[in-house]
Amino acid sequence: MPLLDVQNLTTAFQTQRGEITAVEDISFSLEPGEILGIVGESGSGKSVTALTIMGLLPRPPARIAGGSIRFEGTELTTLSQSRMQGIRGPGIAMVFQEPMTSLNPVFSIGDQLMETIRAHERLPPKALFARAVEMLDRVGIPSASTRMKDYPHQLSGGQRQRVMLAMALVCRPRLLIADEPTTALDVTIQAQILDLILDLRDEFGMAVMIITHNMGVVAETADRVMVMYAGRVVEEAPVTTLFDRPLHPYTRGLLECVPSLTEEMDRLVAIPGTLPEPARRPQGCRFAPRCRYAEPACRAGLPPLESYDPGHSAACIRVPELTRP
Amino acid sequence: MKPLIEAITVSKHYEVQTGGFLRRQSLALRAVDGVDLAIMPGETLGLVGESGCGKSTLGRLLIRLIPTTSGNILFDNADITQLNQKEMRSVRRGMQIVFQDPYGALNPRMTVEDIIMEPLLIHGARADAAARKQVADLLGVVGLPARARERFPHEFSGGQRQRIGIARALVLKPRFVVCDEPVSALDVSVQAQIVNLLGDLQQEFGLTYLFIAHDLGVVKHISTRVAVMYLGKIVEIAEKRALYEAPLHPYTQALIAAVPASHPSQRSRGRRERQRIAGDIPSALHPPSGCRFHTRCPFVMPVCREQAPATTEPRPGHHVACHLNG
Ligand SMILES: Nc1ncnc2c1ncn2[C@@H]1O[C@H](COP(=O)(O)OP(=O)(O)OP(=O)(O)O)[C@@H](O)[C@H]1O
Ligand SMILES: Nc1ncnc2c1ncn2[C@@H]1O[C@H](COP(=O)(O)OP(=O)(O)OP(=O)(O)O)[C@@H](O)[C@H]1O
Ligand code: SF4
Ligand code: SF4
Ligand SMILES: [Mg+2]
Ligand SMILES: [Mg+2]
Repeated sequence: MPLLDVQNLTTAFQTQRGEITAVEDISFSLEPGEILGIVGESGSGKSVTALTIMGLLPRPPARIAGGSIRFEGTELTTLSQSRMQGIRGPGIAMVFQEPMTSLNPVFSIGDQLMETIRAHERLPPKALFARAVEMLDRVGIPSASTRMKDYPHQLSGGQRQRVMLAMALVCRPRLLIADEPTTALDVTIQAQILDLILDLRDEFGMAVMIITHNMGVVAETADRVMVMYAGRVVEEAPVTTLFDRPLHPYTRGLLECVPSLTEEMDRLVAIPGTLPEPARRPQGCRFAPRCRYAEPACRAGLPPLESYDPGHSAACIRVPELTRP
Repeated sequence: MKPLIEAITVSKHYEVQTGGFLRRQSLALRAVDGVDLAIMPGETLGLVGESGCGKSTLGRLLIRLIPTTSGNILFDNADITQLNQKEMRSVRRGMQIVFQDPYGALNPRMTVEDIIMEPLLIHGARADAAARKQVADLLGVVGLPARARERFPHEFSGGQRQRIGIARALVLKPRFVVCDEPVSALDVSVQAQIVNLLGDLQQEFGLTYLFIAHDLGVVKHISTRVAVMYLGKIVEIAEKRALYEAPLHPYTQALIAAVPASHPSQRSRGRRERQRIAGDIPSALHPPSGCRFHTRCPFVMPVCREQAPATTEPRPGHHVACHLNG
């Protein structure tokens, strides 16, 4: 049984201009200890996917319009708030895109860490303190026991992100969802945080869903990758396969447009245009207006996600002819 | 060839209040500290370094958006640090800036045409048919449709807004443009569009760029030479291939080692162990003594804590400030 099994999940929002679907018919699963990378442009539905799994979207305006989310066999979409509370923390923990929004500015980081532990475990005060210090130390905060008294604003951006990780990991979750954990950080700090996530995966055997728009972060960490575009999954593959043999034109575009440190090019291979807003998605394949291979048939209907190799699927009707040697 | 723009021991110190209510004191924050730099006509000088190291401050100093604390800036061999406001005005036409944040940098209540035309009006032009024609031409140049003219910034995507910002910077036909993280806020697919556009414009108008960015790949792609900054100082500067293939400064080596792999087979977890630098950049308010990088340098020697390394030129055109290369 997979640790997490998401089937045909659709999340919609009520807005002033009618209902929009942010995430549409997505399916994926995660085994214990596995790292799944989720990539896609801004607005493609990565955070909404994560927040739906965490049960953190206020309903309304959000609505799970279809599908199921099973965590260790338990259906989460219909779970009561109080039972969901019990899963958040020791079951699934999340590191958010904006570190400052999830740290409370008026409490010290030590208090916040201990509060997180207390919510799930009864420990004597001394053990509680020791556990929090140990976690801060583990994520690389120097002189952890004296830093327990610090407030979030006294920390650098990289340290705040570490404290966020400590908060997420202090209950030893079986699944960590990391939403752009390094986007706001310098490369030096990014490398430290990614190494840390990998170390902790090895140590605790937790599964990780790492959300990013950076193909380099995927290359560094993921075992498997899911590419999202305009709310849908357009390709899924083991990481090496995705980099060596991307099938979907959007995935190829994403890989091509990043300038590499080793190769030189006169011009970058840009993808023209921009991601459509949910209310203005085109008919048929949503990537068609930006796709250099688009033909009339692409606009006739949504291309289904087809499997081409074990574990490798793509949603593009022209894959067979485009990948013919 | 003479440099188009030159900085000679340029510094910018900010007065900062620190301490609590009782122990309040004023300290000088050395955002830019004794920088020497020359940018040749038609080249792109890339500028990299961690957040807070002084990149934006240096960029703004070069075009005198902010005054220097000390040192001189020469534009076309003329010292611009001593010019009065009126004299500065005619020089300003030649130097412009494109900002990182395409959202914050544009006035939300002005139409795209007014935004692009504004610098012309500030410099004494009239909003006549000729000015409007110039704006229309520029819209084409930066790849926006003509009907964008009467729209407002919020109606555009991030990449399109950045195109508007670029058109505005170009309307005065500058020779030197500071690009301060112009693509950092954009998705990679759109980032590539803007990088290509900046390259095309450079060819077409013979522009000289200072290109500030976090992304070492983008900087390598667009630059002729690259400068690396750490806590207010330039620690290394070289032709881009020399800098990326044979970096001399331990900080540059660490920055390059930290760039994520471009393929899963090149994962750097093991490779980084050797060059990894620990911790964060120290506060610019209390920079370390001697070499400012000594608190994080894997090769630190006793002399590094005492003496600031001088800048040397171990290979032609390759400058570095590190005792290992003394
Ligand atoms: N509360 C909400 N109400 C209405 N629409 C929303 C809401 N939250 C998200 N959306 C929309 O859902 C879509 C997906 O958003 P999401 O935040 O998941 O994108 P993302 O892939 O995480 O992007 P980014 O890379 O910018 O973080 C977007 O079009 C967004 O505008
Ligand atoms: N107006 C100001 N008053 C006081 N300190 C300032 C001011 N502007 C910048 N600083 C400080 O000067 C230093 C350099 O800032 P600067 O914005 O130049 O860095 P940067 O390299 O551009 O960073 P980033 O990559 O985050 O944009 C920082 O420590 C910053 O806090
Ligand atoms: S279905 Fe057509 S438009 Fe869509 S990605 Fe494939 S080729 Fe391009
Ligand atoms: S001078 Fe010393 S501390 Fe500074 S970079 Fe060189 S070796 Fe390292
Ligand atoms: Mg997001
Ligand atoms: Mg800056």
